[in-house]
Amino acid sequence: MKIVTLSAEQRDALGSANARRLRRAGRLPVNLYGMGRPTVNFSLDAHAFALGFARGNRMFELEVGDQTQVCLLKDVQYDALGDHIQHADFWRVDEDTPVTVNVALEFVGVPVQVTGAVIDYVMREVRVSCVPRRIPHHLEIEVAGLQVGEHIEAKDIALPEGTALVDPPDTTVATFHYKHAQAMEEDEETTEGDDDAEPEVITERKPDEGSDA
Amino acid sequence: MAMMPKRVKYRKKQRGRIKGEAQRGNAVAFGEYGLQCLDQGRISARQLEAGRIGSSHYLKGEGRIWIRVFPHKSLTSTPAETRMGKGKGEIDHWCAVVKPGTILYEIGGVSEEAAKTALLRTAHKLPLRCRFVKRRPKV
Repeated sequence: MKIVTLSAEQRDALGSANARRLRRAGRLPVNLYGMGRPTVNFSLDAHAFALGFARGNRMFELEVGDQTQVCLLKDVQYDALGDHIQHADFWRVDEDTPVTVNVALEFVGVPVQVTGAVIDYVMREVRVSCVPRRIPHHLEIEVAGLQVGEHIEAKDIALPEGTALVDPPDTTVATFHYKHAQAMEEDEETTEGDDDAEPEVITERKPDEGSDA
Repeated sequence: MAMMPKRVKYRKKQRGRIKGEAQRGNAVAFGEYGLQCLDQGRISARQLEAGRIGSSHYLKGEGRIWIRVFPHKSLTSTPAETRMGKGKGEIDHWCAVVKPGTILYEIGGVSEEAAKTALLRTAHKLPLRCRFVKRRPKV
């Protein structure tokens, strides 16, 4: 995975109001933690980070003054509409020590369309262990050749050299199967029915309860 | 049949106010594509059902549709030509209260073009502004 270098500034004024001011000025508040050292607060150029993130980079090198630190992106927070990144967490890593990370799965192709059959992507990422520089950007899985009733397991994923699967190998990743009978019924238009039906009221007093014997 | 709760503690609800943006249910979680609400408001059970039918008709049984909101709120109305007073009216319909950012529907297992067209048909059945969104990139 490519390492993107970003220049960071130490962030001393903490709290939501200060973070808001930073965002207004085009900066992104971030945290850096890990390797048993204390958490440090930084701010980055929001545009530069968003570009790197959108290109699929998850490893960054933060430059603070004359110091640099290689780190992995651990978490990203979005605003309510999901348009803007609000905050990011970075995790310090040692370049020679293997780390366990989640890697996104990319499903290639579409199985032959069969009426009533649907492909279920059970997992969208798998946990792998490798040194930081060998973390794959994503893992591709070919699903075009799947027949109805077949499934793909985690052990079927082709991993690059130096990468080991952490998840159990027999974990189902994707299945191609007929929809459940209930889902088939839901798909059909069952608009006819009693629209005046009312739900059961838990607290409703029954006629017998009011009269004393 | 339009959706409604099976059991409730009390039949009639207070009107309430809708404030702020969706802090949960605002990301595509089940499928690959979603329909995100941009306004705050109420969507009736009938509108939700009409939206679902709009998508499923277009997809002709392919893929899968998820409805991410549920009409938990009952709305009452007083019958026409009735004098004022005599208490709160009877339940008229059920609706889902949504805030900006809420994902209303999700679609999976179909191409992006098919999902976009299907969700556009759904959006035409809804009383609020909506937009097509994709699953957010994983960290």
